[in-house]
Amino acid sequence: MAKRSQDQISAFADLVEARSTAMLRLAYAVVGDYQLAQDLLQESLVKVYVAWPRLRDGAAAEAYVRRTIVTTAISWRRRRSFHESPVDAVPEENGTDDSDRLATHDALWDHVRGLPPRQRTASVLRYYEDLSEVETADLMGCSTGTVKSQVSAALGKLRERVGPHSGVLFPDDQAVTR
Amino acid sequence: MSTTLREALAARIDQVGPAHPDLDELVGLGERRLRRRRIAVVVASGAAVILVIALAIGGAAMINYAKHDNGPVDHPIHPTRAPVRPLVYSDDVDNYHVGTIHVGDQLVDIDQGLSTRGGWDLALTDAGVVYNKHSLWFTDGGAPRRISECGGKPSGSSGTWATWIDCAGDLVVFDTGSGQEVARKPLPSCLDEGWWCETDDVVGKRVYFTREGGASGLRERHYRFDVSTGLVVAATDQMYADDIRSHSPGLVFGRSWRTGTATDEGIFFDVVGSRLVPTYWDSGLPTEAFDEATGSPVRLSLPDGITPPQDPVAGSQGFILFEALDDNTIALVQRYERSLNHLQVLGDIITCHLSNGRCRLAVPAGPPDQIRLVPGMSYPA
Repeated sequence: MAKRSQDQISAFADLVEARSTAMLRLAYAVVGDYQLAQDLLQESLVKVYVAWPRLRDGAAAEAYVRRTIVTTAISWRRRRSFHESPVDAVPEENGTDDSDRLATHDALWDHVRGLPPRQRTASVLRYYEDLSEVETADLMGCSTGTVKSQVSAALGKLRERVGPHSGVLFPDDQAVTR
Repeated sequence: MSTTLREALAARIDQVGPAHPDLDELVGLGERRLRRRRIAVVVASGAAVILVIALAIGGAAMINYAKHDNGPVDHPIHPTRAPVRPLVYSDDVDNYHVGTIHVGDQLVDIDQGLSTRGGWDLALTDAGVVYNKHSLWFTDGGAPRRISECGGKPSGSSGTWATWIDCAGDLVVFDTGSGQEVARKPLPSCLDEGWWCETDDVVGKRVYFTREGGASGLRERHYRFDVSTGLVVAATDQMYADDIRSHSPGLVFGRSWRTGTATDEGIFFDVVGSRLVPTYWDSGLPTEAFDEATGSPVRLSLPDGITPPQDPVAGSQGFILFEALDDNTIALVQRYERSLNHLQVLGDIITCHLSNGRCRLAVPAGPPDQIRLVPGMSYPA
């Protein structure tokens, strides 16, 4: 049986050491669950190990892992997308006091977790990972038009659910206030 | 005080970590997967447990129905011939996108984005092709038309029915021949948190589906919906095998026609000289094939003119059965792994007659850099 060479394993280990935390955060962002994110990261790293000979450098390998995380996450969650995942509890509308800031973050995150998988993935790639629409489309394996529609739908739902006085500035709001 | 969307997201996501993956475990898992990909022959001792991975017709998901050889089973003979199906494949695949598909001699623009590296969201029926592009579409070789606003992965059948579970959690059975919905069954438990459902196959008037999930995300339950009675019951491997045997054209694999396992797709045919030897996918053990309808042994021959694989991994070459065109004709695609990058390559498509074992080259492989997809096969990875 052909095994990966020691040099390849060493390079793979370097990638795991250097980038695992960032990739775990991406996995958590797209699935919204810590245990699932750990499983997703492991599955994605195993896939990159298998594919290693055709990944010419560390940047290509990381890009491959990121793409694998996103596509595998959609694959896992796509089958759950017949309905939006219910959140544990629907938080009350938050005020704008400083003391409510953390609660606002938690509430928003709960609403993000409740989005359908594609909407959640497109949103976190655009507004957490700061990817362009083209980059997001490439990672998700879809068109930029799909990214736009998914993000638009996601933002619409989030706006509606957190309410007008939540203190969260959504992208359009930011554009207006700048 | 205001907070931006990014700040709010980062406040939660950046709390995660640091990650500490177990490198030895990753390398071990990777090496095991590499070994599996070579489809090596495993020498088994003692009683053999046979596992056939059956690819649902045109479906994306593999049905992990373990099929044990449980002794003699009567095989009813079905002399009626099914309509001739068009051969379906695509050579217009790039960057997770399918531009056009061949439906027989028609070329249809479907412009379908593939969301995953997994199976192609495509289902075949006697009337044509159902595919998922945000909503569900159908083509019989002509202009595609939308048949459902919101559906999951579709499954095809050996007739004209297609099935899927829609966004409301209803199992839908649709006749692609008449364009009419045949049945609709609400499945409230498919909407339970942490669970999801997906159809696997339509056999006769019965729809098999799987409910998966649970706390670990790994539990699976198989069910069968009977369109005639409207009842849903828990399904066993044997029920599925018996239904396949009774309703679908295809092959029986095993020591004999009487004791073998029926399946209509998903068997690996190893190239041994000029023969195509049926081989169990998981174990790599050779077996025999029998025409399900007649019970006659099926011995397929490699046709002339097959394109030599380009730099294949040793032992990786073979053919995969992916479509039954009629009771007597099956379609297979050449499959191997390229040693340069371990990419799965789908090459020549051949069609074979079960009655005499003769095969012919139907669609030659394209250029080396062209990606080919056939129903039920994954995007190359």
